Amino acid sequence: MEREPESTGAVGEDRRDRDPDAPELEEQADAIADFVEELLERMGIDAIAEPTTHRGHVYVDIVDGPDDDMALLIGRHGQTLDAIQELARTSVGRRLDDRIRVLVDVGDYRKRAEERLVEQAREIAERVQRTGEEEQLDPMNAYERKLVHDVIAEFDTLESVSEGADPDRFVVVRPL
Amino acid sequence: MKDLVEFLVLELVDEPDAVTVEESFDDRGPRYRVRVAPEDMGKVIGRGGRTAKAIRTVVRAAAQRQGHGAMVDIED
Repeated sequence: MEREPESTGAVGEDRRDRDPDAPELEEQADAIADFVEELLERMGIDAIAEPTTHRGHVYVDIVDGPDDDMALLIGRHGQTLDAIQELARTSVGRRLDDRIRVLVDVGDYRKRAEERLVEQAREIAERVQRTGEEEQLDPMNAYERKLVHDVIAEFDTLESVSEGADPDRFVVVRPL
Repeated sequence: MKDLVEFLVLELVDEPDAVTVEESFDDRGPRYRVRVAPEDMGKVIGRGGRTAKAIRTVVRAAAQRQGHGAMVDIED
């Protein structure tokens, strides 16, 4: 029922993007991209891993590969992509002795899903404002819940809390 | 395929010299038996088995590309 520590709001997120730690974030992004490119090469896939940063996360997008390989790298419900991300985070985090917040993506697959989620959160917020009745979202991971909390934080008249236990933890949006 | 398994495991361990990957084949595709130093077991398996699961998922995707399956066993 308590507000999660991850829900710091959009302002905190912006500050982190301009953080003096940014060079460190870039170093992490380069290391993750190198790892992913080496992985792709050993999978026999001809594609490029582009490192950037996004919302205070290292963001590495796999691009320029054949369509069927891109689909394979995403996997069913994004599970291959999740596995690549997990291995990249663990391996590179170990080497740099750092906890890395990383998103590995294929052709903006995650980013587009993220944009849809932010849009959906806005629609729900407007509906809760209008009807005065609380609404639940589907279960989602901590990163996605944070995206929703950030959207709701923009509304003075609403609050959001996370309820339930992972992997079924979900966000509730309600009037204050 | 074997070099993919070796790459993934070597990136995770502290003792690369102790890593061995044995490859065998049956009708469903290749099978990899991975051995690492006892101190590295936890790193290769991960919390709740999630690192081992991720290794299997990536190796299976690479195998699927070649039209077959693949098995990865992490043995102690």
